[in-house]
Amino acid sequence: MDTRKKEITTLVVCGLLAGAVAVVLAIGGNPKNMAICVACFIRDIAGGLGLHSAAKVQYIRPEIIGIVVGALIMAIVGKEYKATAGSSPLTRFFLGFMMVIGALVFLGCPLRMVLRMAAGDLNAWIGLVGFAAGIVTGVFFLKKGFSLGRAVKVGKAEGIILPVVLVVVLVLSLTTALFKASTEGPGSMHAVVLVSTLGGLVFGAVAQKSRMCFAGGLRDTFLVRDFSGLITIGLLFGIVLVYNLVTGGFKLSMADQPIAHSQALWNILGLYVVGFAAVLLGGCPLRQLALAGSGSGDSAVTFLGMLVGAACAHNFNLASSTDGATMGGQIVTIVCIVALFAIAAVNLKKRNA
Amino acid sequence: MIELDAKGLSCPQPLMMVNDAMAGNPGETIVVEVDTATPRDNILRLAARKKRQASVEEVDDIFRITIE
Repeated sequence: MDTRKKEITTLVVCGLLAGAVAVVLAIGGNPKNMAICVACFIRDIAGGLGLHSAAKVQYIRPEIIGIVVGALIMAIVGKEYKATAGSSPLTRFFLGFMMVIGALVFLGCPLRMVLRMAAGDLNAWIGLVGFAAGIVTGVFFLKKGFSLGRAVKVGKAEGIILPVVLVVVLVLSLTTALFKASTEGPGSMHAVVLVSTLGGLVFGAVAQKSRMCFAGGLRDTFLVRDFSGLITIGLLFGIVLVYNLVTGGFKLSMADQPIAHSQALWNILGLYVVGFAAVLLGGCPLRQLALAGSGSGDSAVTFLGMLVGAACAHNFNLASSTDGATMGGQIVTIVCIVALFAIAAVNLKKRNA
Repeated sequence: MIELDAKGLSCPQPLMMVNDAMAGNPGETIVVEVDTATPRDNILRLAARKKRQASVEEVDDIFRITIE
C-alpha cells in the first residue's frame, strides 16, 4: 500500500510540474494553445534546419532538446538509463513519420490536443474521439498479438547520440546564423531561450519519471483498467484550464480557435492516425522523446521519422492550415490509415518469438 | 510455475503477457523477466491490483519478477 501511495504522490507531483511548465511557457510567449507541442515543435526544428521552407514555422525549439536531455538526466539519476535498439527500426521510422503527419493534419500532437481542450477548443474535443478510436484499433491488434519484436541491449553510447546531437544543434542555433528562424507566424512566437530550455528539461524529467504518455494513459485504461497514466494528464489539463479561465484565454467554440481548423472529419482522422501509430509504437510523440532520452535507439529513430515526416508535411503541403486540411493532407491521411492497418496486420503473432 | 520472457518488448506487451498468464492460470506462480523499469513497475502494479504477492530481483540488468 505504501508503494502505491508513493507512486501516486510521484504522479501528482509530476502532473503539477507539467502543468506549471505549460503555464510558464504560455506566459513566456509560445503560440496560443501551444505552450508545448511535440509535433509542432519538431516541425519548427525541421524548418529551422532548412528541411522545409515554410517560412512561418522555422525555429530551433529548445523545449524539444530540453525534453530529451531532461529525460536522459532523470533516467541516469533514477538508474533507469539503458541503451537498447533493434525492434523493427525502419518500421518505427515510418510509424513516426505517419504519426507526425496525422498530428499536423489535426494541428497538434496529443499533448497539444489536451492544451487545446483546456482552452475550450471544441475541435480538439472532437479530435479526441478519433484519437481514442485510433488507440482502440491499436489495442485490437495488440490483443491479436501485434509486436515489432524485441529490442536488445546495445553499447551505452548508442543512446547518447541523439541527446548530444540535439544539444549541438541548440548551441549552434544560439551562437551562429546557420539555422532559420521565422520572423512572423507561430515560429516567431516563443519564450526566451533560457525559459524554453529549462521548461523542456523539467518537462522531460517529469515525463520520464511519470512515464507520461497520452496514448498509454488511455490504452492502459481500455486494456487493463489501469487509470494511473491519466493522473498526470488530468492535472496538466486542470492547471491549464484554470490558467485559461483566469486569464480569459478560455473560449468554448469550434470557430476562430488559434492555430486550429474546424473540419471535424479531418480532426478526427488526423488524430486517429496518431492514436493508432502511437499504440503500435508503444507511446505517443512525447513518450518517444522520453524513451529516446532513456536510451532507446528505436525511439531515437522514431524521432528522426517524425522530423522527416514534419519536413515532408510542409514540403508537400500536407499540413493543415486554419482554413482546414489540404487535398494532399486528406489523401495522405487515408494512405496512412491503410498503411497502419497493413503494418499492424503483417506484424501479428510474433509476441512469443 | 509459468516462466515468461518479456525482455525488449515495447509497452504494453510485457503487461499483456502477464495479464493473459494470470487469467489463464489462476493462482499459479508466474515468473517474468523484463529489462527496463517501466514494464517492471506496470507488472508490479497489475499484481497489486489483482491482490497477488510480487517480488523483484535484479541480476545483470534484468528484472526477474515473481508473482505468487
